[in-house]
Amino acid sequence: MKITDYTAVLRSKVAVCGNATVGKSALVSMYTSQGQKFPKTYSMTMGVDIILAQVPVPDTTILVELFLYDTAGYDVAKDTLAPNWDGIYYAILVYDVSSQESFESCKEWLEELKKARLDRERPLKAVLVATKSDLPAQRHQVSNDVAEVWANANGMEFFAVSSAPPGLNVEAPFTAIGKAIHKNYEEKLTAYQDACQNY
Amino acid sequence: MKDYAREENGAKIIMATSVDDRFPPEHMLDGKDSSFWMTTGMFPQEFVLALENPTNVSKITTLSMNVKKLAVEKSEKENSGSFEKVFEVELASRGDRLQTEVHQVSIRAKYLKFTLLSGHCENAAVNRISVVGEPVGS
Ligand SMILES: Nc1nc2c(ncn2[C@@H]2O[C@H](COP(=O)(O)OP(=O)(O)OP(=O)(O)O)[C@@H](O)[C@H]2O)c(=O)[nH]1
Ligand SMILES: [Mg+2]
Repeated sequence: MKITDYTAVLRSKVAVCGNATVGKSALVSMYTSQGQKFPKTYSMTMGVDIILAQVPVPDTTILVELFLYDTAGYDVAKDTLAPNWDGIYYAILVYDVSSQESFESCKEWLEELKKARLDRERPLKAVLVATKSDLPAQRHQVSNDVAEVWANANGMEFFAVSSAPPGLNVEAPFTAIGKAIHKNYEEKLTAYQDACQNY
Repeated sequence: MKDYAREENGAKIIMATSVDDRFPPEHMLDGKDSSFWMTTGMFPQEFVLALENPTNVSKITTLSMNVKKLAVEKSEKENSGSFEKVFEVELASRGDRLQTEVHQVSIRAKYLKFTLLSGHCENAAVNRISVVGEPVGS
């Protein structure tokens, strides 16, 4: 679809969090380059990179623009980054299937994100992503089943992906966040329309 | 009194930062409180109102939902370029009910720029803009 064919463009900030080297920047890069750019050599993210990702909402003429806050994963970053998340209510939590530790850390990242909300009444909507699914089975430390159970218990959808070319399921987490933003928008719209009927 | 911000009186929205064809910015100029322009996410959001002619404006009214900080600027020039601050105000939250903001002013303007600096939630709405005054030279 051409950009001019969309009837609405929604915008939202989305945090991309998880431990260092789990593959956050690679996932973002593979998505925004439509599978063309995979960073083979690791380049550590410093602070936070803000990247624009366009997500068409399936079966609609609506485009969602995600302002992805691709955050550095190294340990000391967690607290110092929180101020950047001001007013962020959507997140992509990332771990590496070959690192149990990175999965455990997602619990902390989730807490940090919740703490950083400006409006504590408003729920945080996150998805959980397992990267590096392409690695041989004997290197997997976290089972998808365990991860999915934890994700669902915390109101998150779960996606196992691989960013290594040709890429596997890379779009799914972004589409899920785009759909959540769209749903929230339509709900607000309906509430406004109902409220306005009496005016 | 004549409302110079009505489409039927020659007013136009020449720029708006949010696009949803179902809720176009013209909804703010149709004289109805029930139709609105919806902001589609993130702040600030902006729109520029062009009056048909330069006008001595005495009152600016906005009807909105979930706007938190609002700034209004004006430009007298035929070609809108530089804007000067008219007022900035913080609006109380009224949930999903209408916020009515009335400002007495004494300015000459051809263009008015409205900036929604922040909102009480992710998406704010502006239902109506009203601009009252006298044509310049009367
Ligand atoms: N096999 C495989 N390698 C991956 C995958 N995703 C990322 N990598 C590799 O993992 C390393 C780290 O990837 P990055 O995307 O830079 O990691 P990051 O999470 O952004 O790390 P920080 O910026 O330090 O927080 C790179 O060498 C990537 O090539 C994947 O899905 N499969
Ligand atoms: Mg990175």
